[in-house]
Amino acid sequence: MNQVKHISSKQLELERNATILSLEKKLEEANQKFEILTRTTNEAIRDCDLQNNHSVVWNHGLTTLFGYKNHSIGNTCETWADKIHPADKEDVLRELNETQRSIKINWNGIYRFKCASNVYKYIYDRVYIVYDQDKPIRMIGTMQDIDDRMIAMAENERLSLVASKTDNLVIITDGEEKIEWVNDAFVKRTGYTLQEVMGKTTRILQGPDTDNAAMERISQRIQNHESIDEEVLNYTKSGKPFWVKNTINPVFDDANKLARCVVVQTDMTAHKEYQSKITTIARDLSDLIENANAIILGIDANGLVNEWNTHAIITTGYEKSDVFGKELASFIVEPGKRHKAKQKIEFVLKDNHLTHEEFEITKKNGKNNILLLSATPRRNSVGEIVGIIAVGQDITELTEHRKSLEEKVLLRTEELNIALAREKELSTVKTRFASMVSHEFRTPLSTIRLSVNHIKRYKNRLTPESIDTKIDTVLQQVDHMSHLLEDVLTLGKTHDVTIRVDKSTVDIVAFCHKIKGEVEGYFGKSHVVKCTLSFTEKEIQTDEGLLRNIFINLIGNGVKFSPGKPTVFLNVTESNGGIRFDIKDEGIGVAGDDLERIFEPFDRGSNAGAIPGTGLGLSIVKKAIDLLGGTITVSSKLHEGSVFSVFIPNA
Amino acid sequence: MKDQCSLFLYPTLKGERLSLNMTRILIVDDTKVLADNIADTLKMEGYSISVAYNGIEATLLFKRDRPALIITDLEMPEMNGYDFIRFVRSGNIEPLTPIIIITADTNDETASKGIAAGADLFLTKPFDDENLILSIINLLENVQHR
Repeated sequence: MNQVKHISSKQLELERNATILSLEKKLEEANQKFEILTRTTNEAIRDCDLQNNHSVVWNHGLTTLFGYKNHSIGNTCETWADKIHPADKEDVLRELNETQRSIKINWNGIYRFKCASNVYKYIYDRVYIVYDQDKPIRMIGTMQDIDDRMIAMAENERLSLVASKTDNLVIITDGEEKIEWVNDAFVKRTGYTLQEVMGKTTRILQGPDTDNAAMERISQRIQNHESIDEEVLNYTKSGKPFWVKNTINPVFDDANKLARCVVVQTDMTAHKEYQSKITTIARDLSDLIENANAIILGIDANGLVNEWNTHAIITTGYEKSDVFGKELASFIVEPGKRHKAKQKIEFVLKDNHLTHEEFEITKKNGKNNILLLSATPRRNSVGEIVGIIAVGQDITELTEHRKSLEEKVLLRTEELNIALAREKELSTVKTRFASMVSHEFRTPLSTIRLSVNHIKRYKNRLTPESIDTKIDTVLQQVDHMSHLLEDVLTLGKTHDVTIRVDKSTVDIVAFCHKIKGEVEGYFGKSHVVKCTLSFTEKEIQTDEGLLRNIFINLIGNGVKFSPGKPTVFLNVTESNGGIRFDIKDEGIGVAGDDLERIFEPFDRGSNAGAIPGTGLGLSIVKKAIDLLGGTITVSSKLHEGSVFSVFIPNA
Repeated sequence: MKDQCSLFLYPTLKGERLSLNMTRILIVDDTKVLADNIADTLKMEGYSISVAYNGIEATLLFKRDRPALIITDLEMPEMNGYDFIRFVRSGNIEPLTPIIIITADTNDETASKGIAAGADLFLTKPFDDENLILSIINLLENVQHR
């Protein structure tokens, strides 16, 4: 108070000249008022003396607002200025100087002021300047704490910026649900301007298809002081419907009366369309699964069936109710094969694929079917494996068909192989025949050429006898070739079965002597045929031509294959309704391996070597004996000789 | 393989024949009638002839008669023609004696096998006997000039 007295001392001195006493009283009153004011106010008041040392006096606000104790801030005006935020200080001091220069008594400003805690507070400073003849002598500042308000304002600014810039529709209504404010997104989406909707209710957004029940629910919830999340169909000014999700936050006043509503509408049209598309796809997909012409089945992570389409029902006979929630392997797979099936399921659940795996299943009627299945893991929306989806087909018929086809192929292959072997054999026979013919004809041809040329070249020097010998040689060779030709033709004929058996009475004794003579004559003087008969007279009914063919060949062989063993034996005996002939030689014999093929055409013993022959003789003999109803057997020992036993029936 | 072997060039028949009196030829063929007929013809050509009906016989006659030329078949019992040719070529008795093969086998393979065994000429049956006579003359001439 002394200070106040001091500050106004100039005035007091001026007044003193007049009525000091009355003035003193008045001053006393004024000072008292001022002091009460400064004491009761919430504001910080500083009183700066602009004349002497710029001393400053603060009220209690310095402590209550800014936290400085015992006026510790210092006692000059500069100490106040030092606490102003550096960004604001220059402006504040400049504006105050400006005010003093233009001798204005008031200045108001907002700036940040540093507290004892080093935190800046927004303050509102109202300054009053006292002048003495245009000279500022005193400056009283009232500093009001507006920090909370400033922060709230900044927050408000931010919020309204968000509300106006968001893509969501923001509507603010008053206590009577009348629209106070809408944001730009609202204007853009609905086509209504702020002026058009101000004072109206949000019902202007509703249209024919708006769900009234949903609107009723919203109203109800507002009454109950609850916030609302509800999807509704809105209409634009031009009547175009669009889906929004309403988020409504009602605000109530102290009397629990609705003060305002903040409505945020999220445009759901794209989302709804997407949802509807997804729903359609899902429905199509589920239709596809259900009606696909393939078995489709699903198994969850525990191995229990959760998908079973119509085709699966048709194929297995099991209804959905039979299989849902059950372990697939436990009823559809034979007990012995369950373990393997379970392993396969485990395998797929571990993120593997199964492609065209064959499974044998047992149908409801107990019959077995074969399924060809492919399986893949099934995942949820976050990609975790939650089961298996398998697609398959019933290949039972296919498998059977395949099996029968395989069998057929096998059979055909075998047939083909046989045919091939036959073809190969025939080809070998042909080759053997060609080689035989070539060989067997070339030698006699050489002899004939030599003989004929001999006569031609040396006829003047030759005796008639030697010419005759040469001519005989030629004739012999021609005969030899003719026989060869006949053999080949006979074989050809017997193959055709057109050969005719011409039976007549044959005198066996005479026949045997004739054959002996023929063979001995044919082979020159190298061998003798020793003929022994157990009878002196015997006649049978048979074909003499064929018989001759048989024995010329057999006895001829005996001679041919007995080089150096000059005797071939012919034993003839009566036997059981026919005649038995044994032709024995002491020649090279036939190897055991060769015996079974000995009657095959063109077959020649492995030891036949250079002994001439067609390989036809014995095959002709066999044919002839067959035609006469007889039999032939052979026994032989290598290097010791052979015995051919022939039985010819009398018929 | 034709009647003639390409390894061999035939001389033309010109002037009078060389005196071949008592030149001996060994004929080997298991077909007796053919061997005998070749022998008859070559006798008329003035050669002395030895005839064998298999390889073994041939080796004996070769050693005994020392022929100036050999005509042999290939397929024969006891010892075949190839072995006989190899016997002649490997021995120390007249190993360079000209050898003519006569065979019914017309395979090229047989021909090359015969030549490889050491034959000078390969004729296939039925051979031209005029050709054979000329070939003999030629081969014997060649031997004289060796």
